[in-house]
Amino acid sequence: MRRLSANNIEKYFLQEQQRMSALGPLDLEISPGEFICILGESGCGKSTFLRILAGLEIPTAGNVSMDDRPITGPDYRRAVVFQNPALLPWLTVQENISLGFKIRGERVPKDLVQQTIQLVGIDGFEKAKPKTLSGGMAQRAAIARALVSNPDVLLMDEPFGALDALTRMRMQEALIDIWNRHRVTIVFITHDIDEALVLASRIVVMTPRPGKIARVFDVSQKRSRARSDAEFLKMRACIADELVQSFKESREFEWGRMA
Amino acid sequence: MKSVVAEIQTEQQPPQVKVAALVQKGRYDPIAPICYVSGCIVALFIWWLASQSAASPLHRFNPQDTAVALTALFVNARFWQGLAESMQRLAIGLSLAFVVGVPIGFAIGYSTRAGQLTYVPFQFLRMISPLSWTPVAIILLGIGSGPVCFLIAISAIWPIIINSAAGIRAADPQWLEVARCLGAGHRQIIRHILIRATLPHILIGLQLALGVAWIVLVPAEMLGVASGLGYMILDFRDVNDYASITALIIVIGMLGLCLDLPLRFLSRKIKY
Ligand SMILES: Nc1ncnc2c1ncn2[C@@H]1O[C@H](COP(=O)(O)OP(=O)(O)OP(=O)(O)O)[C@@H](O)[C@H]1O
Ligand SMILES: [Mg+2]
Repeated sequence: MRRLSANNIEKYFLQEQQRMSALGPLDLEISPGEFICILGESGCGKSTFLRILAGLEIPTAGNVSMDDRPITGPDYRRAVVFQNPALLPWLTVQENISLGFKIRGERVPKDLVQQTIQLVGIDGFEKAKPKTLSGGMAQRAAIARALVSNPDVLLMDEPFGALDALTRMRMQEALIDIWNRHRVTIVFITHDIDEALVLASRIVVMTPRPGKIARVFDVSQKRSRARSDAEFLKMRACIADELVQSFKESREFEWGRMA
Repeated sequence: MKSVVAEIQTEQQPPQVKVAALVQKGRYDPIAPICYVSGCIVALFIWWLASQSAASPLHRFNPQDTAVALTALFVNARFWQGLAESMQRLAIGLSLAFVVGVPIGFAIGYSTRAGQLTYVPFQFLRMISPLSWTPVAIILLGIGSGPVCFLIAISAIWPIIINSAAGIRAADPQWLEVARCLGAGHRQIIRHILIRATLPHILIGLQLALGVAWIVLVPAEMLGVASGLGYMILDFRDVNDYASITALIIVIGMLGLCLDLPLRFLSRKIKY
């Protein structure tokens, strides 16, 4: 279990020689063992935030830390599932999933690899090359690659985006199970309010340009994860309102600036 | 690390789809072997036709005499010795080019600065015909195999450098990020990602290098050594043995073809 914190982080990108603010200032404390879901419209900086937490991107201002130690680069204890599978095309599914052990010079725990492959439901394709997988299967292989190292923190960028509804629900259950058993700290980006409600203990809604936190919903007390539950529906409406609101505000802001 | 990633991102090109590849991909083509064989037969026939008339300038190089000379060549111990020597020089020159060229190519692909530093000198050196180094090579390395290996190395190194660098640049920056997130440092990235990712490009470089090396080998052996295939051609010319010259030319062409085949096969296996 690890604590993540982002203090006043900002990220600028150079776009056509212009500094463009993509993120922040943004503050977020993530307690050990929390399951955070991040919602927000496309382009609002969710991936950028996740990449900063991963250590792949250095914030232009502010700082991020894990257990009070500044994050200066990637760390295998913070596993990342990217928005696209990013499997190595020359390795088989099995080799892709075992890659972390090979890189770190550890012995490959064959049983664990096989269990993880079964967990994400791509057994039978161990020897397949990524090119021959469907999008959803490739994404599940990427998820297995992140899970297999038993990370303390899981950073997941729309990991279930390419999955069909049924597989998606199964994967959600598997993830909740992992979270319950290992108490990993999870940051999970999604476009799906229902998914956020099913999974999260806290939901962060972001506004675009630059990406800021609009509102945080604490859903850890929810009694039931059933989608028909009254409380669930109420919360759902609330979050939807917040998203629409932040969307409108950002548009009004832009229109106002243009006028 | 940062600089490569930034550079790769700006240099990414859309994948090119080759129509021919789409049409033929994975499909068994029964006509292909017939085409390959008929091409050879037609070429032989043209050669035969062009050399039959006594008035033809090719008359002295006709296929019949060449075939006879070829069989004589195959039982000639000096031929095999020369061939072995040529192959040895080729191997040494190519290995030299490979061992020096790949790390340089990696450095150029990896660091923008290395690319900028080496660009002008390398383009300059690359454009110099390898054979113009002959006197320099002989003065520096003396008479013998040394200069020949040097000439082969200096002509073969450029395609190896260029393709190794291109291989590094073609590596998807996300693969590097994946590796970094799994705990890889520079060394592991090179070992587990970059070397494997660039292998197909390196093989292409090697294929091209072999091509130029084989071309340079023969004239290089005409200057300053007393053995090898190139020297033997001159030797046969001195005794006006035209059929043997032609036979040697055929051997050189065939060998070039045969040397390319395993690399081509490997190239296909290693592609991802
Ligand atoms: N490497 C980069 N260079 C320049 N601009 C970038 C870069 N990465 C992201 N941006 C910009 O930062 C903003 C946020 O991008 P980001 O990828 O974080 O969005 P997102 O919320 O993940 O969107 P989506 O839901 O579509 O994945 C975008 O406007 C994007 O154009
Ligand atoms: Mg994104």
